[in-house]
Amino acid sequence: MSGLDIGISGLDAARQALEVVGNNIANASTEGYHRQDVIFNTKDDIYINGLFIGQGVDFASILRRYDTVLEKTIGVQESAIKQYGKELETLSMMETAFGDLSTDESGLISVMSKFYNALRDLSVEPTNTNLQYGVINAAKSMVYRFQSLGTELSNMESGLYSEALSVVDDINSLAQQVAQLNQKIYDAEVQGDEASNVVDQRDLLITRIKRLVGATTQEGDFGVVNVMVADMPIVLGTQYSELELQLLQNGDNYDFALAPKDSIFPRTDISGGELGGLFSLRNDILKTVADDLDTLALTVISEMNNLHVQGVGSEGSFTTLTGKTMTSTNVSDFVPPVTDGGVIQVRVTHADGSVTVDNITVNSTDTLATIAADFDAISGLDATVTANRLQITATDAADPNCTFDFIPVTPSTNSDTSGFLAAAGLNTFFSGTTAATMGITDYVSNLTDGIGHIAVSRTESMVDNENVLAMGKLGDTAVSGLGGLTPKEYYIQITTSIGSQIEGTKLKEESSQIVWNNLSQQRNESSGVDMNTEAVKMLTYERMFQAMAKYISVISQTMDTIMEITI
Amino acid sequence: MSYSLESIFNSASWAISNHSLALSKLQEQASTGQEINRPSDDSQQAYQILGLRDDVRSIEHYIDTMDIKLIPRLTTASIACQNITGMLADAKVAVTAASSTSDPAILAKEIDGLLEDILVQVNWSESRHNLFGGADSDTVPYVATRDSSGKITMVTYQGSTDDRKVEVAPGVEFSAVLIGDNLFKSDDRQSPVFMSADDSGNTRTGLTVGSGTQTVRGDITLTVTDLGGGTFRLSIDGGTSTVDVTAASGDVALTHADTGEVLYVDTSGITSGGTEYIRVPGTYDIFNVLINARDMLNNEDTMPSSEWNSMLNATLGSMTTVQTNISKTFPTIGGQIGTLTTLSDSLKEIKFNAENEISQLQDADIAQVAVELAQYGILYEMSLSVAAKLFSMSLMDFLE
Repeated sequence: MSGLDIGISGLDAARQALEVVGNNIANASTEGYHRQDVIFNTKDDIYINGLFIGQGVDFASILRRYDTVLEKTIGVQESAIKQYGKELETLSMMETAFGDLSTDESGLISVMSKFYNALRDLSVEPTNTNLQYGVINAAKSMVYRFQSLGTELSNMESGLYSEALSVVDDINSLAQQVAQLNQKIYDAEVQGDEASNVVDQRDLLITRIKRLVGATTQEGDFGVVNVMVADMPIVLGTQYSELELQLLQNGDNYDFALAPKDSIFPRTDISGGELGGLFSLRNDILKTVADDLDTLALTVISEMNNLHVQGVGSEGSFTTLTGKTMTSTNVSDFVPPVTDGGVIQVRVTHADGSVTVDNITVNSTDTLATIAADFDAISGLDATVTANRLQITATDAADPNCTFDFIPVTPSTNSDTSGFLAAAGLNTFFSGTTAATMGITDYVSNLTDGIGHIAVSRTESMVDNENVLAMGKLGDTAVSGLGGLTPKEYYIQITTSIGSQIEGTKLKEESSQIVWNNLSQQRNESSGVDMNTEAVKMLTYERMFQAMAKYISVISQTMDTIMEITI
Repeated sequence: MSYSLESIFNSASWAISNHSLALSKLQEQASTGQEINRPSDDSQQAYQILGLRDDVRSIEHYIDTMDIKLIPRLTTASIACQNITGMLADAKVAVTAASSTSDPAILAKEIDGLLEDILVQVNWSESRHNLFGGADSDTVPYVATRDSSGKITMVTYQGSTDDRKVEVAPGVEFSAVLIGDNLFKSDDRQSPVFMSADDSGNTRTGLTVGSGTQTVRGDITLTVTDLGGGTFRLSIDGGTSTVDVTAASGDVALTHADTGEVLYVDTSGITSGGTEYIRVPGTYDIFNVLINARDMLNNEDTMPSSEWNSMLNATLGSMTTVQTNISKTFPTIGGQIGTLTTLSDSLKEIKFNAENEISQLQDADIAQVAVELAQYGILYEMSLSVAAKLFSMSLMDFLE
């Protein structure tokens, strides 16, 4: 009867092999599927009449075609591609927002030029009302552009946070599923069962995790795989740990950080995958651009205000000046910072036409109240602080008709070396300290009362144009705080650096894509399902089945013949 | 080497994606006409383009400042100066004719008319910008003081003596105003001259020029009233302000109540009362020279005829000096116009070159774009065709 056993073993082997081929063909387009090949073993021989006679074929096992090193390398490239793709997404949005090469000249560089040109126009005719309106309108356009850019970057930051939360949730969900599949694989392996399909499902989930964040894997016993993110385990055997997104204070900003839930050791060095891209954007790229834009805005504001506070408009000296509401009354907290030991020169013109000049020294230990007291001590001036706002009034019981200003007594010198007047918002042009908060003070922008307040002059004659001439040059004057660049050059650098980043990231993405293409090709060759090969195998196993069936038929016929002989 | 479905799919989609991306980029270049549409297209070139565009904007503004504001104003000012010179020439003719006419009052009236015309010229404004007011271009620069009959007795400059510079090129500033007080006033002050002085320097009243900083300008009438007892009352403003002196008073300052100008006289030789006519050469401007000429033609001070003739000749000389001084403004203003015009032309050339450079950096070569569009179009079609072929072929189709 061993002949029949041989036939049956062959039929069985062929049938199972056909099932494997069928499974391969069915999963040819399934993502993450690795080709399964059949391993046949010869059954042990038996010794009969001095001869060793084979007993057929055994279906030994199914071999899952999987190259560990290749898969890990592909995983690294997929993480990188996803990270670069995420970075490019946001960088492209930023580039569109800045829009400086567009033909409609709506970019910030264009409106900055128009603002400084409007000041130059005003320098030709400082008292011309239409030209003053022109300056205000040009300033409003520039301020609006700064605000919209600052707000847009801020909105992008918020958007990145929401997206990062969602990605972390996805990672946690996938980690849980990986742990569950690890359990199934463990159970199957322990019992000696075949679990290739489950392994493929688990590996696909790990690939999806790698697309979301740069993860590393470690093979454990009985087919289990551990998964780590920046050395933080998220899957350990059949257990999983959740990650949470945190915000870590870094100066005035908050950086993204990732940590196991309830951990006090968050990590900011997350790379790879979409989350790596979000971290890179939030902690580095977007933050740098936003910081640069705020630096530029503060420089434009400060440089303009530092000149403006020293001058007077076509309306002449002041009878009242009111500063802005300060968040802190300590001079050391003022933004822009006040220079310790700087001096403010105050000119008071009295009713009899005489002019007195007094100096006020500003120290970092001063407060708004102490400075107000210094102003109040000057003959002809009253100064008070109400609701954290400094107000200076030219009223004095003994001298009711005097005026005051901060015009430098010595031409071409600085009448406020402390920067206090600009920081306190006294006779300033711009308000705010960042791109999003930049504005124009009501003092100059009020088109009913404000015209005549633009401080065009800075000599005692008050008919000169020196202040507005100097203000008009600010756009093309190098500033040490901008790395020795002019404001316009600095802005061009910000814009083109975004373009440069995009170019570099695209190159990296393209090269990663090429590497991934080549590695995928290798994987497809070694682990993919080739329909033609499977068709040949199918034919082979079909013929094998047919042949074994024929063999059994022949054995049966021989047995029938033997049976006929005995009767 | 096996070639799975996934391989075919990946290769085909990669090729199709690449070619369609290239086509999309070429289409953008064709529709905008520009190769660089955003900084990421080429960040280095974008940096240059943005910088050049900003330069062009600045240059355009400088050109407008010169062509639209400064040059037209200077041209108008030059015409005004030419008109004033012509009017001065007419006044000289009138003064010259005075010695041979029987009724100089008619000539005085003519000069009075010219005086009013010149006042209009020096107070000319364009778009409410006074041409000769210096930095204070809002204020009418010259103000006339008139007597009860409306006749001009004095013209005072109330404009600014400060300049106003504007930027006409990077780092280049140019004066945007003309200061009338500098243009129409001579500043070649000499010592006052008593017209009654003889060759020995003796004058009608015995007074002579004193020591001190003289600030009087033009012609002055000094009245000396004998109060008796060696005391004399002196005045240079018709008695509005007076100073009582004796021979022992030495150098005395006489101040004009209206102008504040000061004449120093030496009283050590004072002997009698009378009227002294004094000239200060080198201090005449277009107004006081005409006012003095008009008043002299009217002979309101009833000068002796010899002194009258001397004063007339001296006045003619002063008018010639003033006319010469004003003529000097022509090359000055003309030079300014020439400088600005040359600078404007240079900037226009620089702007043209910058715009050319922008065009070279940014504009697309349309012919090349068209060729590449055709090329990538063919490649795209080939990719689709090959993909379709590969997907359609399989051994499965041949199995029975």
